[in-house]
Amino acid sequence: MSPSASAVAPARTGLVQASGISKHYAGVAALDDVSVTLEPGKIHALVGENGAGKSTLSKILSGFETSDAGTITLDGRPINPKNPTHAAALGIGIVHQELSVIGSISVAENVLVNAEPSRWGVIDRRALAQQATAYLRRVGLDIDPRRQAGELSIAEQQLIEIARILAQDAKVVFFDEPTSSLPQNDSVRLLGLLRELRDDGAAVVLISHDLPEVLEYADTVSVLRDGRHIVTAPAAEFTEESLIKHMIGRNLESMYHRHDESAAAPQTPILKVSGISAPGVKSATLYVSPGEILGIGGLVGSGRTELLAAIFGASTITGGTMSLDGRPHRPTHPRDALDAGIALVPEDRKNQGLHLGLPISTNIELASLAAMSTGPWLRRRKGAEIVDRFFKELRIKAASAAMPVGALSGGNQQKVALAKVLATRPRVLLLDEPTRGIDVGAKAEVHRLIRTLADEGLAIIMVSSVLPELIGASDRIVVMRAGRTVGEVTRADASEEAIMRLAFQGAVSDD
Amino acid sequence: MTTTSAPLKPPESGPANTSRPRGRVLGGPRLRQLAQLGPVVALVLLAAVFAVSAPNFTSSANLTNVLQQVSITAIAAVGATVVILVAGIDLSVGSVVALTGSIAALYLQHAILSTGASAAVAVLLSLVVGTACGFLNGVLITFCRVPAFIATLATLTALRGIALLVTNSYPISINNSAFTQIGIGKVGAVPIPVIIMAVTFAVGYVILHRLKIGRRIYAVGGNREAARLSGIRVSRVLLFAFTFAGLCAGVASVILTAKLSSGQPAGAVGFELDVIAAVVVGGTSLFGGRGRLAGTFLGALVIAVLGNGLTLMNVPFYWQQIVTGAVVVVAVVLDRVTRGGESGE
Repeated sequence: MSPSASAVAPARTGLVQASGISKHYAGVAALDDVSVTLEPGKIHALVGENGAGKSTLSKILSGFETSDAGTITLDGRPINPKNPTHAAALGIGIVHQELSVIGSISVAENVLVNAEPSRWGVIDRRALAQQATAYLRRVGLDIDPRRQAGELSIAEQQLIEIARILAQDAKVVFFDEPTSSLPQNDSVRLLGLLRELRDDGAAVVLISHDLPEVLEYADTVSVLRDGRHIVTAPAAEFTEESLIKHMIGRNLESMYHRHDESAAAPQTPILKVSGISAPGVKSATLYVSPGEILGIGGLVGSGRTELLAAIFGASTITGGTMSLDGRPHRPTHPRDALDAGIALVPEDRKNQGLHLGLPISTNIELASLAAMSTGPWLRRRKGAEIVDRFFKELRIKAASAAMPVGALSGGNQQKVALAKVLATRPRVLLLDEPTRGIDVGAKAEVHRLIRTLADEGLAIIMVSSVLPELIGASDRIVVMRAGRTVGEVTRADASEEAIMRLAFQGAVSDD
Repeated sequence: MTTTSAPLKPPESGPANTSRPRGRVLGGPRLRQLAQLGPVVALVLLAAVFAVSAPNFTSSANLTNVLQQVSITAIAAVGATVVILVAGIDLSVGSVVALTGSIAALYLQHAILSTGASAAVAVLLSLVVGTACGFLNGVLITFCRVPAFIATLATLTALRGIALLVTNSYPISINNSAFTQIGIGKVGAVPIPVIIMAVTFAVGYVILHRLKIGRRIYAVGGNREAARLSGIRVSRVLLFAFTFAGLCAGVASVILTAKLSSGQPAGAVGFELDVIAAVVVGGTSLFGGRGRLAGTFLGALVIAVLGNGLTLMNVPFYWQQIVTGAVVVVAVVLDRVTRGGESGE
């Protein structure tokens, strides 16, 4: 299995026909009689809002879920992928929205998991490294295959997953929101890989919320809504507007909600950060005022997430000063920050933001238990009231607050994560990639919510890798590069070029 | 303790983690509800079998005996449930019980010679020593950052050593009828150990479902990092869990020591395994964040009834051990199959 042999043979195989696929979770239809055909040598995009059924469909076709009804054929033969390993053996691979790289083992072992070259059962380390390197080159990663995968950035881990699919010689490859966590230049590289796979004859399925990306790269587009198949047509026949209309069944208002230029009365900053350093942050300086949304731009790995962690007390601050309302702010634990009125919605909902196995209600209560208690005693009615209020205000779509958060769609999970921190009644809100993995409709909703919160007087710091979002939603943008804040762009000057220039070339001065 | 639960049921309901591939899930919600009754079904079956085949099993003397036996394990298992809910483990329970009992017995023996012993002081002393041992475990785990398994393995050995040291490894007999009554006395028809057990479970229930700390316990066990980012001071929660487990071990020790009328520095060996088995058979996940006290009570009962019935049937002790081991495995497997999800790898 050398990498060069992984190109699919000229006889085109990998024609998947799924018909009448249905899937119910706890009585709710996630998929209702959906039929699609995936052709080899085509990029087929699946688009739709949260909970439209895109992820469920791809999970069924790749063996992570079983359908309640319907049939699947591969090159005319009926198949029934029972589990991911079985699907992989059939030549169906998936690159997940949530990364599935195993952090504790080496890059090479991740790439060739379940296919390690061995002699008499003993892994041949040299061959392992060689083969892995070849696949890593194909995805454009130039790293030591012996490194621990957990040390790599999210973008790099994603490329490792793709290398793994290449190593499996897949004929049908699903990409579930592959670019949602990547900065633009990495996205372009990744989408280029999709094209290469297609040109090699694979059937490539792209699940994405990024409509320009879909229209540019996909050959065919299928729209799902509420678990139903709405339309399938060549990408050329769609525009962004027409896609959105199919996805939500109505026209979308403006996505971002800036406030009036004139209404922006100058405010005294509430949070000032001066030259702080912390793990991953060399020197960061910024301020934010009540009613303002401060965007933080920069490449993945430039220290944006780490800066938020430092402000939130989740990492150890090693230098510099911060002040909140004129008083020194030096948190040693997230509790200190929350008590001072600073709240964080982390980037990684699954592992950091939420307890997926716990009920929605408990998740919302968790950061503000003290406010819902008298001494050590919980006042459960008070908790239920607060939960109920956020449930309605944020329009969380779930059968009941007792459902585990893990059963919700990404957008609704994010709303729960927001409700949880808003319940702490913060004055400064830190948002890390607040719309990552969320569909268009929910994105607009989250942005509207963020703007409303700012208008109510919250100071908001938002990290985003999506440039249009960063520019559209922020009042002011600070750009980071290599652990330092390297410049500021005002709203008037904000353009993708201006931000990328700073992100790539920002003057890094040694203080 | 019935199987009804608090309105805000902690995490055992529903798929634990939808983003992970699900294992095979047998049946729908109805079958899952049935599966939660697993320990009840097991208990009823066992009781039915023993009622027919084990002589005297249904006699009131024997049933009282079973309840007395189960109370010691179940009380310690309340603490173990809390520890396991925070994704910890406490292997030191048996040694804590032995040390606590030895110190209480030594006090009763020496105090008699000087000022006259008080059973109340002996009880208090036991609770303090048990709590201190638990606190020590907690400190090792939080401040010294020793993994719970290793920390409590170390105290398992060290505390046993201290128990043998302070007693010169002789059992210390007790001649204080007020104290021994705690182990063998009754209030009306109800044995005192059963009353103490009921109180311990009530306290455990309040902690888990009526206090802030309860929510934090489930949160820390479910996902430690997410708990930290929710502003929960994880170390304090862990410290609380292990300290509370020590207190429960102290309570269990009082009953055992009183029942035996002696402090046994070499006693309660392997007790931690009975306790952990009770928690696991009761359906609490060893990975933390999921489980209930009602299950723990049933789990302890299943194991005690099994031991009692087999003894009455004159089944040799080693067979009892084999059967108990098998029951633990079956309970965990049933739990996996019916819940689906979590592969436990």
